[in-house]
Amino acid sequence: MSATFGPGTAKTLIPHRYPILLVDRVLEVTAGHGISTVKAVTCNEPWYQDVPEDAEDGAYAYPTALLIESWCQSAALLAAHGDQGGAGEGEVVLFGGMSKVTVHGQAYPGDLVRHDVKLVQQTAGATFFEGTASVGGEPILTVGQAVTLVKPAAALQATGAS
Amino acid sequence: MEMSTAVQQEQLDEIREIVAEVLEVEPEEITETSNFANDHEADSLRAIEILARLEKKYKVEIPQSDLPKMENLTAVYQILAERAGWLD
Repeated sequence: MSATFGPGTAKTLIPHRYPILLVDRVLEVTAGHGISTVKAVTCNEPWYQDVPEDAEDGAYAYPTALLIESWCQSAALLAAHGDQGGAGEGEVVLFGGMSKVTVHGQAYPGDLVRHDVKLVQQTAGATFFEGTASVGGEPILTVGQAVTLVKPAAALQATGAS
Repeated sequence: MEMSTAVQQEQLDEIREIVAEVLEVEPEEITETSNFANDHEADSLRAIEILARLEKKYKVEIPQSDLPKMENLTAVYQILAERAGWLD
């Protein structure tokens, strides 16, 4: 059972909002297996407002940290869709870590970045993902492993807070 | 009995390789009793990674409740041997 949807549905699944909701469309998602999403890069995004007036085109490379964030949000959408490794009542999903991450290229304003995320394994409250981000069929990022963890929300509450 | 000891050593070395890869150290550094957390700076996420890799390789299920016990190679071997039925 695969599904396609936009930001309206995405916002019911993950807590990210403007200006840090970095997934524009879900092309295809199969619960518990994989997701393909699109992130359109435009020069209207806030991270470009301080690029100097005399900067060349190369200065508009999409920040790699945000490219990774966008990929991770796709993974979070996969986990939340059909609740495979998503947060249940009184639970939160935490980013655990990433390894074997390689940056092969850059995205620029006007590019459509496609994220492909595969759910590899689920165990002991952890979900393991792998995948790529690409522009025009050329990979610009590969993620060998990303891990999310489901924890009780109570474990995060500050002690002594009223 | 000679045979089973050799198999046991092979299994132990296989697990050592997996643990070493997750903890990003040389296999020789992982002794049978060196403590993952204190001697090899493993955190809870590394422990889950070790558990996940063992489950995948040996096609067994290791309950989350076994995690705190997985503190060194000997303990991991014992938990895995139990779950995989190596002791039968």
